[in-house]
Amino acid sequence: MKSSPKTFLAALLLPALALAEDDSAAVSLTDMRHQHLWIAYAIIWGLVFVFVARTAMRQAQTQRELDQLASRLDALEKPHG
Amino acid sequence: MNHALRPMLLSATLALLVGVAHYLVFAYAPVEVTMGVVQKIFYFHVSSAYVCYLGFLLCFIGSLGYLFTRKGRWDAFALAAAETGLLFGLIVLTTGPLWARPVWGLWWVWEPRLTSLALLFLMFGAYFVLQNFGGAGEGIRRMAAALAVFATPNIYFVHVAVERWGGIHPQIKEKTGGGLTPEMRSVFFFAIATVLTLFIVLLVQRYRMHLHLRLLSASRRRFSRLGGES
Amino acid sequence: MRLGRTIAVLYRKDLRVELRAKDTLVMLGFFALVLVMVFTFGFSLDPATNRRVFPSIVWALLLFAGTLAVGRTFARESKDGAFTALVLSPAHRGGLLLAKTLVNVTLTTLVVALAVPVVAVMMRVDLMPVLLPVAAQLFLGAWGFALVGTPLAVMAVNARFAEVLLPMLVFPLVSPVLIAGVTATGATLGTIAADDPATFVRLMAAFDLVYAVGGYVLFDRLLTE
Repeated sequence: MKSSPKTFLAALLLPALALAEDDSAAVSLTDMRHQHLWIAYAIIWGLVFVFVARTAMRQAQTQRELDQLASRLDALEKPHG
Repeated sequence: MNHALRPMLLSATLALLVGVAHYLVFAYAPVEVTMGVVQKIFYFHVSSAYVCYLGFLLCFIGSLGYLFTRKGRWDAFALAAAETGLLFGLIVLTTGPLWARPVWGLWWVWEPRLTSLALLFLMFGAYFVLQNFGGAGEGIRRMAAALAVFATPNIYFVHVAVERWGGIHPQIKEKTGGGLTPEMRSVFFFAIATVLTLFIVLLVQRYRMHLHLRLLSASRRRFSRLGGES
Repeated sequence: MRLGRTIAVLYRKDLRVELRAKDTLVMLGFFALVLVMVFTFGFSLDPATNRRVFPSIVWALLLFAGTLAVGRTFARESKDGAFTALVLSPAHRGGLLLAKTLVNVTLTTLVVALAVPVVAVMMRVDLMPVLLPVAAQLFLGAWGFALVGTPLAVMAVNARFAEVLLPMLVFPLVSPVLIAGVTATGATLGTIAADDPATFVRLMAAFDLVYAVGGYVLFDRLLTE
């Protein structure tokens, strides 16, 4: 199928429609259970992953800047004795 | 021990713990009769709630320590504890509605435990925002510490207020259904141990990061005092 | 009784400054009227519904008035280094906090006392039979808000985004007061089927006591010299 802005928009709307459907009687609560279980565990590990990645990146950045600064501090302090 | 080896060993142990915990949750623990598979959210949801409270408690202790000793280490520890607590708080607050919707038919209920966790999350969220965006300087750190100390007795008041107020809201059955089978109970304990280990590792990493950040800003100050150009 | 004297002297000083400058008082008065407009426009419904939403409106009003008062706690002192002078003075710092809290309670009470009767008249809620209990509840609530907000207002002297941060910090902290207050007022008006309103009044009183003692003990450690 050729993709056009319209089909693209429709694709964007589909999850929203599915969510709206959620509240109607069409999706039974039992069917919802599996879906919610997977979403829950995806969220848990997604959040933990983001936290770990951000911490590691910030830690690496800080370490780099500290090393840089230390060497420049040494250079600054040497001539003065 | 070798310095390069230690983090790898730690990560491997954590991965193993998490893997085993998932196996136990999904393959070993029986499916709960009334709630169905979605009850499996329980294992990580409740463990996360425990360590979230632990994180906020440690933030309270760290803040008290900071206010009374004025040592920056306490403040770094309190901030790390709050951040790690907020991570698990976010997990609890997102997985909770996902579980509640298929079981109670509602995404959210104003029940004491939910409400106090949500408000606590807001308070320590404010603490986090103040520490990170309120500006540098000791005044801000002290203010944040005071906020963390103020937030803790608040849990009690929120709990009592919501409990009394709750008369008009639907009362909820105990989430665990009261009866965990022995298998479920052992899986639950394993999940708690896993999440607690994860929490401690993340807290320590975060604490070290904040110590380094403080060292960096102190070094920057020293650098500019010595007349260096950045 | 040195603490009592410190509080009395500082309180009288602040009150005199406010009465002479008049700017804050006039602004608060107009602010109260604007609040009345906003809330009555937002909720002009049938009398029965008005009566049901009335407690929420009154307590939201208290929150806004309190935010305004607390945000200005050290506004005058932060200029000309007067704040440093005040902190360095031999006055007991806990006393300084309590005096400032008392000033904030006074200002909040003034706004609420001005606005609430007008709201009641415009929404056709008959307050006369329950005037005393509702006034007492609001007064306790004003104390709760000021006791939590005033120590945190020091931050406004040196934090960025203080005007956003302050309500962000204070609102969650006063949520028990808000829940208890709305429920107590609703129960007094007979629109909420809750326990005896006295339960919630006691809860607010306990809250006020805990935060009065906590602020008094901690305030000294909060200030940087």
